[in-house]
Amino acid sequence: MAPKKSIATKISEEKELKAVVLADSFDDLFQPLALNKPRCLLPLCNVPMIEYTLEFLAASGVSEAILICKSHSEKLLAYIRQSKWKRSSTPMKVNTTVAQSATSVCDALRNIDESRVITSDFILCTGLVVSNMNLSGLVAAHLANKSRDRNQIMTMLLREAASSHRLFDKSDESVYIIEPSTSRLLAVNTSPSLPRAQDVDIPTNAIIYKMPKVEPRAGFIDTNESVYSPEVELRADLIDTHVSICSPEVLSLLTENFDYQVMRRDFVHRTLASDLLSSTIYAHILTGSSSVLSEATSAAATATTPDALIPAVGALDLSAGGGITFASHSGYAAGVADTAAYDAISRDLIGRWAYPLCPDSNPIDGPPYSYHRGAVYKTPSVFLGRESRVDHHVILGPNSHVADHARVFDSVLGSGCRVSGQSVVHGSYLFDGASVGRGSVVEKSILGERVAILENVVIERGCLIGDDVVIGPNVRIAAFSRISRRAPQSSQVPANNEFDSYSEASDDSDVEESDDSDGANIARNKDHPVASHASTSGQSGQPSSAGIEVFDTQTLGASGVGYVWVDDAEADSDLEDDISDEELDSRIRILHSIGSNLNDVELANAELAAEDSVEQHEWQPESAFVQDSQEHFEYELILTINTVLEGRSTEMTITDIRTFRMTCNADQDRIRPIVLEEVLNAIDLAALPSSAKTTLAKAVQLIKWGINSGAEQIDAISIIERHCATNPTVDDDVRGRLFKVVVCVLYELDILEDLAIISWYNRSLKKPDGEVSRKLLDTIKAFADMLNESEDEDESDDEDSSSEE
Amino acid sequence: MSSTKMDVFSTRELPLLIESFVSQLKRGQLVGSKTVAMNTANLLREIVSRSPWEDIPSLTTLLKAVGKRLLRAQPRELIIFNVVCRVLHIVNEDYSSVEVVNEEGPMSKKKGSASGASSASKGSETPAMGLGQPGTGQPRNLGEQVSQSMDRATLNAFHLKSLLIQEIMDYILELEKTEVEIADNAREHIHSNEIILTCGRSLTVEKFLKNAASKVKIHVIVAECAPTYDGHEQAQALASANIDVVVIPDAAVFAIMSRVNKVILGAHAVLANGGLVAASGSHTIAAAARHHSTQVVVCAGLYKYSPMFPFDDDRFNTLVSPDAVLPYGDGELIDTVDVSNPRYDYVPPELVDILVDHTGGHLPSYLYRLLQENYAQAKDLAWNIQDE
Repeated sequence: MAPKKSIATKISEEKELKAVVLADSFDDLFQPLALNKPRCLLPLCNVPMIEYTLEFLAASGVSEAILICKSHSEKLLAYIRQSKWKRSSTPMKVNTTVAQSATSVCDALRNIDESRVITSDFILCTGLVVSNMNLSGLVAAHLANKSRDRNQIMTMLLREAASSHRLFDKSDESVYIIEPSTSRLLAVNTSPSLPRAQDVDIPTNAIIYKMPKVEPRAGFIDTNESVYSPEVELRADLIDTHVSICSPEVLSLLTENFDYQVMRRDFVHRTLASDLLSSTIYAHILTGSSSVLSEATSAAATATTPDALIPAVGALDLSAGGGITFASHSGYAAGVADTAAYDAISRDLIGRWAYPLCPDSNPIDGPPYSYHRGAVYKTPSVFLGRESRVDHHVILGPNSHVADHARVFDSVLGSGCRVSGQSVVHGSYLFDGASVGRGSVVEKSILGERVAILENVVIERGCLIGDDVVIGPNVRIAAFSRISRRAPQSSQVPANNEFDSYSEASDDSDVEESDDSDGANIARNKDHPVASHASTSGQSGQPSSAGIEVFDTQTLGASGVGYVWVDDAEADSDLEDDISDEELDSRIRILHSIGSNLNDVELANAELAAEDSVEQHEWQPESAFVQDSQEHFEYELILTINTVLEGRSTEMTITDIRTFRMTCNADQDRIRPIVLEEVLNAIDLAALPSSAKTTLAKAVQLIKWGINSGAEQIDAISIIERHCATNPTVDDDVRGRLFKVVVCVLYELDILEDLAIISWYNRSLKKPDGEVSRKLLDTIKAFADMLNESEDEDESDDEDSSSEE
Repeated sequence: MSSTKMDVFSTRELPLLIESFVSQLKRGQLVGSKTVAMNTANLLREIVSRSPWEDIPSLTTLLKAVGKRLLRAQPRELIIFNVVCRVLHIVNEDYSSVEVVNEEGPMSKKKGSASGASSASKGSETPAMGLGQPGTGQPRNLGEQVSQSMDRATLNAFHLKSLLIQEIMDYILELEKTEVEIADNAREHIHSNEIILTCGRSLTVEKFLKNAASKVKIHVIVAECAPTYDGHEQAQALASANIDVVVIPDAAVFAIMSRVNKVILGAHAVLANGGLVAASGSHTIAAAARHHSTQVVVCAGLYKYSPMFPFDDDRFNTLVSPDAVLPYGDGELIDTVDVSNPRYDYVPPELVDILVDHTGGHLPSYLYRLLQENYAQAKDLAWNIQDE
């Protein structure tokens, strides 16, 4: 794209805009469709999905797109090589990186960080994003905001929609907490919708979020002075579009936190939850779906520049008090995360919601589609029987054939698809070369390439049928079945140890990550041909290597070719009474599937509630981990503190503790007692006043780091008091002395302020003896009185307010 | 033909130019008939000047190939087709005139019919007569001598190129001035104290009304044209010129028609039968006007006149995102309700009384003549662009 000269976009011109495209999704929600091809080459409205993403990036003025792929990378490379993006006439470069060892999205991004190709802010999206937006305006807004808030690392693009919207991810529920005036994202709470969460966990730092005070003259945010934000929004009506604008810091953060797996749940959630990282994330919320300005305004705009979005960019308000201030909230952006989203986005494209991105705009140079009444898109080579009915929201690929008395509606037919007489295809997606036999019914399913459905077959909703499968005649395939030409791995070895180790290897608590990536699945197939019982049923669909194939002819019909994927849940349900993770998993997968609807969620939830009312604690794989990590954390912390007392530099230690906190997600209130206890333990009681002074002086930085506000100081005094009063290693007669000395030294070291000591003292006086030792109070009485008097001299009002506290 | 294509595309920048134009079309960045027309004409001029074509047939093939590419990118955009046809016509016309000069000598024998369109607008100054144009400055005899001594193809390419570029430049100039020239006719159609109804946003109509209002007092009623609400903009533009403007909802059009003296509409394109492709809402207005026997005046530049016939109402319409009609965020409704949001209406020719272009008003039945002058046999040449 030609560079545009406008004040707002100048910032973005300093460096070329790059984009990182995650071409692998590291889950198996599209299996078995993506067994032979990377997911991003599967057709969406008969166009490979990656084309939409690349077109979107090119339209946004991206100069270089970096594709990260893993499974079937050679096919993706081959595709990109022959695509129009490699021709000299395209201004956008497309480079492909193969991340062979990556096991998760964040892993793949770490690879990018290593290769150091990203040096400036970039667009991050999956390879399955469909959008009609020009993001250059939003990138400019992101950069403009960055100059105000230096901690900004990310701007997420979210869409606002009612919760019943078809694009909504039914498998989990997210609550976004946003500060509306700056659209800063304060917290994200994501919980799986199965079993339904009863409550929402809202971090307190989000509610009493301190808004950085904006220095009006300097123009950037002063982080020291803060004011409480007047309002926060809790929103459950936002859909993640899988598009975000990131700073390079995002990549280094991912490298530091090697345990992150998924972008939203791990990275965004934990970055926001951490009160160590001062990084901020902003959200830009889309409300409308059309990207085109009205004819006359754009005509006026194009008179000077060819880009219609310039006025929107010009609307950037640089004088505002912070936050993303991009005027345009209109545009379509959505990511194909699962087959349910695949269905929703296909219907959006057919229904022209993403105009100008619709089937008849012919995104690739294939045979042109033309629009006909009722949103039927046809290529010129389509054959329609005289008595056929193709009436509503249909795309017919080149050379597709619909015979007499067949009915096709709400569906997409790839090239060379054949639908025979008396059959019905509804809400389904037929890839190239699929055929439906006489009298068959296909309902809300996806049929892979060259799938042959023979006569009188009923495919119920939500089925995913892989390439080259033959089904029929005269059978009924149950809803949400998955059928592939090759034998599936998991159903082959349900009782085998192999399987157990496999499921342990992946993170069970994490739905999206519970299965390996497309590529890994296949790799496994190849790696363990012996372990996966080649004897029972011709392994991996190669008759030459395994003799005669035995197909699941019982379910697939007499001429059937293929295997039904047995749900893990069914295999396990005999063994266990309560709901296993696997079953939950498969239910959640159903929610991801095409053809699922909200009723399914309700139904499944109700079932779960009935079956699992007692076993509620079962679904808490995290609690054990939390407990475990807690102990580990304390142990590590104590070791670290001791190194300080032995003379190590406190700076280093504080960095270490920070890192612990991040990994264990501990908060300050838990660290403080541990730090203080350790320091107090180190005081040599025999040589009291001097030893306390030296020990505390050594650890002054460390203590100070954990104690800032008045409330924290009061808390610290209580901890010291408890230590002095109850620690068994302290002799009874030195207790009072120790307490007094420690408090005095800390006062001298400016860690405790007089106000805190006085208010703690006043407060403790009212407490019963069990909570506060009277003896210790007496020892400090003189000191407190002394402070009180000096305070009185300064200001008489202060005492009242402090005693009220 | 493929070999020709290879040859002519050997220049580096041309494919880039075409591709960037195509992607702008696909991304919806080029909207509005004027913008599209100007950009297409500029692109074609670049192609004529930069590609190393040797003779007229190869240039024609090239232009047709490019036209095909553009039309595939945006099959509904009639304006592209019009401009491609027009440029083909210009090329064809020059070619035949050069042929005439070469073969028959004195150009006076050649009839001026082929250059009718340009001469109709520009009068005698048109350079359409090949080597006889004033720019060459040399006596005709010399030109003939030179032409005989040189290889004819080279000569043709050599002379024709500058000639053609000049012609296309004239065409672009003509495009630029269209609105102003149409507006100059305003006084013939608008009289004092008339109440005029219009709809949507049209720069042509805006200039037309402003021109009239500068001389006589008029009252304008603007239908707002939901869901784009372009009418608001139009009203604002008119009010800034101190015109008495009232904005009404689209539903009130019929009710108010009895008070209206004249309906003035803009058009996106004018089809060969005299029907219009105009902002949605125009059909209602034209029908209401017919019911009340109110005159309907359509202001449209010559470049909007298309040689296409409307065999299918849907073919030339553009359906944009239904978001403006039904918000996309409304989950349950978008699942159950089909919403379509057509950008244009087809207005049948019997509802149109007068078409005003820069030469003055015409009856829709006279359109065939204008098309003949504008495109001549070029439309037949271009016809197979559409047919693949």
